[in-house]
Order: sequence, then C-alpha cells, then structure tokens
Amino acid sequence: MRRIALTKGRLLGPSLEWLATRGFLPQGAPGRALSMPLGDGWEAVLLKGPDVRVFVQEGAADLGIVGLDLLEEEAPDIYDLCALGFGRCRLSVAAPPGWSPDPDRPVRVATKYPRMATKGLAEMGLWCRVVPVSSSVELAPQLGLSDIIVDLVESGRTLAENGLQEVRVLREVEAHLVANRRAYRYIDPWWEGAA
Amino acid sequence: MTLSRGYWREPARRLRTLETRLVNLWEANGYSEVMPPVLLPEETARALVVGGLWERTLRTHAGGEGAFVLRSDFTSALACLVGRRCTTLEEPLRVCYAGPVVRLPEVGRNGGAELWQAGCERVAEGERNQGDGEIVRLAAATVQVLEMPDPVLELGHWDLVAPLLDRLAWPAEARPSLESALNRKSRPALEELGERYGRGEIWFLLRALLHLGGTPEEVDALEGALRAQGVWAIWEELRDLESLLRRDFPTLRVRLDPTDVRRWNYYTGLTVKAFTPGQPAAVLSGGRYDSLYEGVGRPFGAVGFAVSLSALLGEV
Repeated sequence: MRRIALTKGRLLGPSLEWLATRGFLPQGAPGRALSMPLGDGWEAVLLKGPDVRVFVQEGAADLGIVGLDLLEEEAPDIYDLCALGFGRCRLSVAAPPGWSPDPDRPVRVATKYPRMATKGLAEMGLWCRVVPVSSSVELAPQLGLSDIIVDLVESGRTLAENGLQEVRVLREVEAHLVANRRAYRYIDPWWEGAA
Repeated sequence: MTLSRGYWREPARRLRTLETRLVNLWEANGYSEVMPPVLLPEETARALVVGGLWERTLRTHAGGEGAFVLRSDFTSALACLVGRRCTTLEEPLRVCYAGPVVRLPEVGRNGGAELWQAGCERVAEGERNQGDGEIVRLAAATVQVLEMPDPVLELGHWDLVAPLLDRLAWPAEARPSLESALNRKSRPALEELGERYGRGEIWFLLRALLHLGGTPEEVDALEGALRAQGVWAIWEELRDLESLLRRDFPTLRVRLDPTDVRRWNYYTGLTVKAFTPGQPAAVLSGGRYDSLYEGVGRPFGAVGFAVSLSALLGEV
C-alpha cells in the first residue's frame, strides 16, 4: 500500500480535489477517520502540517501535501516535487497600527516560524527576539507578549479583528507535493504533466 | 542503539552475519580489513590533521581525563590512520572496515547514537577517476550479497553539476539556496531563484537535469548543451559505468541522477547510493572524496562507500 500524507484543515479539501483530478477518489467521507483508501493501491492519512514532514521523511508515508511555510521553516530532508497552485496565502509581518521599532531594544516577535521570521526581519534591518508560540499568534501584541507577529495571512480578517495590520509580506506560500528519497525512486511520477 | 545492545544475542547475531558477509566479499576482492581507533586523545588527533578536515568530520568531546576525539565517521578516521602510516602509495591501498561510529548529542538535534557501519575504500596517489569502476562494481556486488529486496543502485557525479554552478553568474549569496534547491529536487525553488537572479543557458540546463534521474536517454538528448558547458565527458563516464553494471549485474536496477549530489563540500567526483523499498533513505552511500586526504597532508585520492548496518537492522 502506498501512502500520501495530507494536511488537515484548510488544505484538506483542495488536496482531495487535486487528487481526484489525478484519478484518486477517497472511498468514504473523512469523518473522524484518520486514513482513507484512495484506490489504485493508495491510501491518504490525515495529519497536522508538521507531522506530514515527519511521516514523509521517516518513510511512514511516500508522498505528502504540505504548505511551503513548513518546508522553508523546517528544511526537512525530503524532495519538494512541485507547487500545487492551491492553499495560497502569505507569510507576513503584522503590527498594531502606528507601531515603530525602538532602536534601543530588539523587536519582540511572536511566531510559529522562528527561522523565517528572524531571516525576514533581518532583511528589513530589524534586530529581533523571537517569542515562539504555536497558536493564536494574533493575541500576542494585545497581551504584551510581543511587539509584532509573523504569521500566515490569507484574507487579513483575523489580523483586523485583533487590531493588527499587515506591515510587510515576507513570503508567498502555497501547497507543495513532497516525497521521501525512497518513494521518489520507486513510484511512477503520476503527479507530473497535465491532469 | 547503545553499545551494549550490540552484544545482545539476536541483534548481535544478525549484525555479525551481515558484517561477515560483507567483509568476506570485500576481502575476496582484495580489500583488507582495518579498524581505526574508536577514540583518540585530542592532541594526538590534532597532530595528524591539517586543513579543514577537523571542522568537517571530527568531533571533539570533553572527557574526565581531557578532551578526546570519537570515531564519528570511518572515512576521516581512516584518513588519519592511512595518513599517519603512509607518505607515498606505490600501489592503490584497498581497505575495508565494519564497526560502530559514535555520534554524541548536539544542541538542537536528536540524542546521540551509536551507528553500525561497514564499508570499503580504495586510496591511491595521483589519480582522478581510476578505481571508480572497481568501486561501482563492488557496490553492486555488495547490494546483491545483502539480499535487499528490489534494490536500486544510483550513480551521480559532482563534476557534472559543479562546473555549471561555478559558471552561473549569480552572486555568491545565491549558492546555498541553489544547492538546497537541487538537493531537494525543488523545481519551484529553482524557478524562484531564476526569477530573482536571472535565467540563462546554465539555469535552463540545471532545470532540465533536475528531474531526469533514471532516464538517461533524456540527458543524452541534452548533448549539445552539455558539450557547450564542457561536461559531456563526465556524462559519458557515468554512461560507461552504467553499461558496465548492466553487463555484469543484469538484474540490478541502475539509475543515473545527475543533480542529486549531496554533501557538496565533501564529494569531488562519482557518487554512488543504493535504495531499497523498506528504507526512507539510502542504505549504501559513497563516492569519490579526493580532498579528504589533503586534510592529513597526503596527495592521495580516495573512493569508497559505506553501508548503514543500523538501517538494515531496523535500528534507525
């Protein structure tokens, strides 16, 4: 049985639609099951984004669909086969209106992406101290945990609802198909070419 | 895997069986078993090593009696041993080994491990690619003797890609991202770099080579572009090695992957890897690393490979 790891949440629906264009149709609704047969000897397993990387890298899944944000942040030892054209959003710096950096101290930045945030802010000429958080990043400036945030932005509505505005786009992001080193050598590349 | 586990009855039996099979094969091909020390006092190791070898491959650890160097890698430990014993080599030196390498925990990485490896190496003075065929054939024979299910042997060559990278008129800061894109086979990353730093003939050639591994005829079709860049002869060398393997090991699957050259600062020519469906990464890997012996002050070239016995035993 070949296995493809899919990211739960907003990427799941478009991922299944993309697989359908390649002839893989989920047999049975996802419901609460964490795996589903796709036909033709393939099975989908549903995971959180960071775990897709682990399952693929360690060989528990042959392929995976994951956001470019995680590929760039974690630099996993896997192949990045192609961009899939869905799940588009941006990794952005956001701050309360009127915020400006204090030159006498590092900018405190709350983020799930310490590596990309540090690199992106350095390119902006900002000295930063990362406050690593894993959820509700937008709350951090309100509660005094940080001055600004670096996070994924899709429509910008969540930012606005939490009193933040987008200051700078660091990276355009979309879903990518990934494979481990073994799978790449043993699977016919059905993902290549037009659907 | 802890040291003591190496002596447990069943794992030890399986380990010794594999080691014996491999060493018997390699000795039958003229390779002699050697065992570089697992631990050296730091000052002894430092007296042996010059240049960049220290930073690249040896690990220093503070012990109760003073700092020492652990054998974290067989090739560098062998280089220290051979460099100390041999100032010249009239004939190629053929050596093989089997045993543990030790990796201690590092900040930000998984805990340390003791990994079991076995491998062989051909060391010779003043040669560029002589011995590549010998090592490739031995790697194929090794894959067979290990009885791995459905193995794939893959060949690459640093000299096919490195000149292209060197000639690309991009700023030096782009090089790490480019190497990363090639190692990840990332066409999106290559496209993005092309957009940022400019596309040209070499960029198009790299993009064409990126996903052509395993279909050599498609690379053959790039002959004009490869000739124009002066790397066609290297591709022909790879094709010759492939033909040699197809002749002598007709049932073995052989792939050529021109851009999958990992550890860019280590290999200097041929690379060889073997995969099997049960393992996420290569279980045999190696190639030519001529610059290693510069690190011990000797004008030798070396080509060889190592098998991850720990991976085959399901220990990693």
